[in-house]
Amino acid sequence: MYGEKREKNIWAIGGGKGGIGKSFVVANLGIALCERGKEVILVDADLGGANLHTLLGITYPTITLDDFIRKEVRNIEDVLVETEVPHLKLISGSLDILTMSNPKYTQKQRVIRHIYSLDADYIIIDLGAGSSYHVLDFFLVSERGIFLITPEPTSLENAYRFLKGVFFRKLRNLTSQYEVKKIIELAMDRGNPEGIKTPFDLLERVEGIDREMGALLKEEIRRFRPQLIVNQVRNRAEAEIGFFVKSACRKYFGIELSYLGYIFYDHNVYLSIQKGRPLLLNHPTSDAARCIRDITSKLINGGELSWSLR
Amino acid sequence: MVSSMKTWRDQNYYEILEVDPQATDEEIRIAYEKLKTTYSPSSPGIYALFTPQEMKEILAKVEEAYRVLSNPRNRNEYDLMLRGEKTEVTIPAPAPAISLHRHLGPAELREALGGEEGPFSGENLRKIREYLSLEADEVARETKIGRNNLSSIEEEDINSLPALVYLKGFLKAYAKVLGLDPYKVIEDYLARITRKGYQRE
Ligand SMILES: Nc1ncnc2c1ncn2[C@@H]1O[C@H](COP(=O)(O)OP(=O)(O)OP(=O)(O)O)[C@@H](O)[C@H]1O
Ligand SMILES: [Mg+2]
Repeated sequence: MYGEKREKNIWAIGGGKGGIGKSFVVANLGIALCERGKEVILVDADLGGANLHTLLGITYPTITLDDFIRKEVRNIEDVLVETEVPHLKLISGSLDILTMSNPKYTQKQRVIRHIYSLDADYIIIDLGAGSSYHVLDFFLVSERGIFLITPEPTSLENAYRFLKGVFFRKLRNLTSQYEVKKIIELAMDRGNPEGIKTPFDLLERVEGIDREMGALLKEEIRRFRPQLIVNQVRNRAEAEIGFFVKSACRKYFGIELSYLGYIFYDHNVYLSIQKGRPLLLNHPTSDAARCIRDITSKLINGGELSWSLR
Repeated sequence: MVSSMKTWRDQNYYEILEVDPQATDEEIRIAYEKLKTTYSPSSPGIYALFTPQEMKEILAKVEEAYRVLSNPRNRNEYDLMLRGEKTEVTIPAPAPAISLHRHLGPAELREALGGEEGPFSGENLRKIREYLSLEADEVARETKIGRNNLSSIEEEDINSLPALVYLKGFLKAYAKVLGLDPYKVIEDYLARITRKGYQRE
């Protein structure tokens, strides 16, 4: 089961704030990738708020991540369920809030390990809101996690905090050296007594402690290239926010986001959710559906939007 | 694209503006407008990353970079310096904005607007400009807004107004020249044209 022949893309989708459209985007990106002939597995890792199955028209999943976590089944493949879209499979999230909203570290690692072993062209992981360690660790399963925001100030504020959480968590996971770990944890609080104000200050400090470690962290930051989508966009100016976020991340963290594109705010999204049918099936030619297909092309080809005047 | 693990404090002008060293004048201007909006105090959520002081410093760097790179002679000099063929460059002083000493008090404002103190509609902006006996051409040149954009603004012609980011920049520049509070002008003006159906699409 650990045969890793096919080139796989694994992306988790996160954004800090709740209710911004993460699950909606996961479900419909999955369908759009299938339309392009890809084999796709969607994983609902929103521990405590799983509802991806509903967005795909499945009211009562017969088997979920729960069964895997409780070790009732041995392989994660055994909890895959088919959807109405050919080549689109789903791993439903846990519906048992009590056991699953707070899994043990080893359980989480087992889930992540098994996700890597899944056989598909694309594996997309839906995450819950917030910036808890579970969310951050799932977001970090790959270099190219998908970072979703909406143009609202509150969403942006959470988004920047989320990225900060992701960034520091990533660096922290890269080192087992106690002194470096401690410095990273300190740096997360801007008012730290060490006077480390920015990620750049932090890297300088780490280099001072251990040159090699500093170089390693820099290299990892360079490779870390999350992909950005702005959802619920109402006009051009709001779509342009994606470029602002890209610049802020460059200047603050030194990381390069790829701005994949935006999705219009579209009443059809609401209608399709009410109906319990994915937008791409229910309103295949709607504005939002078109946006999702554009983004899918960028995802497949590794492209991004470029800033232009009008 | 530029990707350097350097803090913005150490970045060269191209890196600061996030453009290629081969960027065209147009690309540089677009980048400049984008960055001014990104690091303006009203940029949503950005305070989660930068302090107001840092944003001010970034903006000042952006301005400086733009002043040098938007002027062919200065840019050429700067490029030579980057290649090590020159040791010094001239940084043009900030444009001596005609607004520098102007502040329009309420009394003057009432006089200009025939008894009112606002709102800052396109028509009222024009009235204030005429009250200050500033020619449209002169203002267009000083503010770099451009003659057409200035007319569109004064006429509130929603079909020919530029995209919101630029419009805000233009209104701010125009407000400063007139000695008005830029934020008040932007607020009034945007409220009006939004009602008229401005969509900047
Ligand atoms: N592009 C859009 N246009 C219109 N409405 C949208 C759009 N995207 C999302 N929505 C609305 O937002 C709601 C929340 O979406 P969704 O459940 O996907 O968010 P989420 O980020 O997964 O939330 P949670 O954090 O709770 O998991 C949807 O029910 C839908 O009504
Ligand atoms: Mg969700």
